[in-house]
Amino acid sequence: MARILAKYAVCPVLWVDIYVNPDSVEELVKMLKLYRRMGYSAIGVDRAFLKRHKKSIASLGEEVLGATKVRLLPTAYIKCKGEREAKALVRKAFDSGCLIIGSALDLSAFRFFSRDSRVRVVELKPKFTMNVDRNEALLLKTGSSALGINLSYLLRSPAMMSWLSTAISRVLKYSISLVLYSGAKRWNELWHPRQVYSLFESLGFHGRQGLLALRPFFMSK
Amino acid sequence: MSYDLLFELTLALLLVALLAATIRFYTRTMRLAARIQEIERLLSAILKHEKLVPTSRALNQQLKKRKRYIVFRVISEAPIKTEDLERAIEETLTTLFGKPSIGDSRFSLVYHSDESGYGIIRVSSDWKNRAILALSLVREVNRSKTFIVPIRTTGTIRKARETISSRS
Repeated sequence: MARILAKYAVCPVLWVDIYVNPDSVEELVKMLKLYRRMGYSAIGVDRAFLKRHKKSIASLGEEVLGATKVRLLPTAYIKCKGEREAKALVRKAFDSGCLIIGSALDLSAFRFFSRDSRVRVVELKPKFTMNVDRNEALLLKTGSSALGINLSYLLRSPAMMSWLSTAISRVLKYSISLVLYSGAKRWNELWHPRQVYSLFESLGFHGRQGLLALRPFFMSK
Repeated sequence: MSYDLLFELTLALLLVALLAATIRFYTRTMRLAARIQEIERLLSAILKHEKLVPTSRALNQQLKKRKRYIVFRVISEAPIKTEDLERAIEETLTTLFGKPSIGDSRFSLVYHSDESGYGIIRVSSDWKNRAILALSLVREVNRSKTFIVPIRTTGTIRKARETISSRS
């Protein structure tokens, strides 16, 4: 396990958590310190949170942000129903220049997010698991998107293990890019790479596939 | 002594000797039969190029499960008692894999320090990854936010203790 982690440490970008939504700036600071210890190089913070606490984050200064050396990336988490609403929200988020994660509440929004190239990650919810088939895989390849799994589902209800197993097996069957993110609100909801490795091994998959999901292909630079 | 008594005594001794000889003969025959059976088995395995199944003693040693010691560190808001931590991990294991998992995994909290937060759990080798998963899902102990970081997995408790002492 240590050798596997060391191999990935040679690459310029280590682990990335593309979406967190902390409750407060203090929680964000605790998260940054913990991420630094775990070897994360960048985290995606909710755009609305960054806008709301712009002054507080700026006042943190080099002492905290520089010391942790973890990059903060603005992420837009779009939750909507219907194609029209999805289009409007994606246009607004894209203009602000942040990473877009689409969380669809119905099938039409899910398909729109899949084929739109501006949406980098499409969140996979339990009700859409059976829609992950060859057609969906083609749509995702057209939009150069990845399917995202929010690990906070597992923390809320460990019974979601069976859903997670089905979701991952379908994603891997159709060779779809997979991205894992914590969706954390508090510092104790983060995920260490070893924990993700063990999660995949316990579900019957290769642990390396879990580690690859912590390094999204669009974050290679 | 009368001749009848002498005769009966001799008869009894002869019967006892006959019984002993029968038992000895039977035991030897059984051992011989078992040995012949073993030789036949080995010969057939060699001739058929089959994999040899070990004898019961060697089989028992193979079936004996290897242990793994997982070193971890607990990061929490407030100091956590060893009993509370053990209970939390057992509850998580039970939720994920069912009540028999505590026995199957041979889970045991070997060491835990309230001050440093370091700890060692012992599990069966095939339950290693599931035990680390159970540790990762423990996020709250006694209403105190917790994060358990798995550090290292070792085969001996000595190596596990060395890991902790080098980090401390």
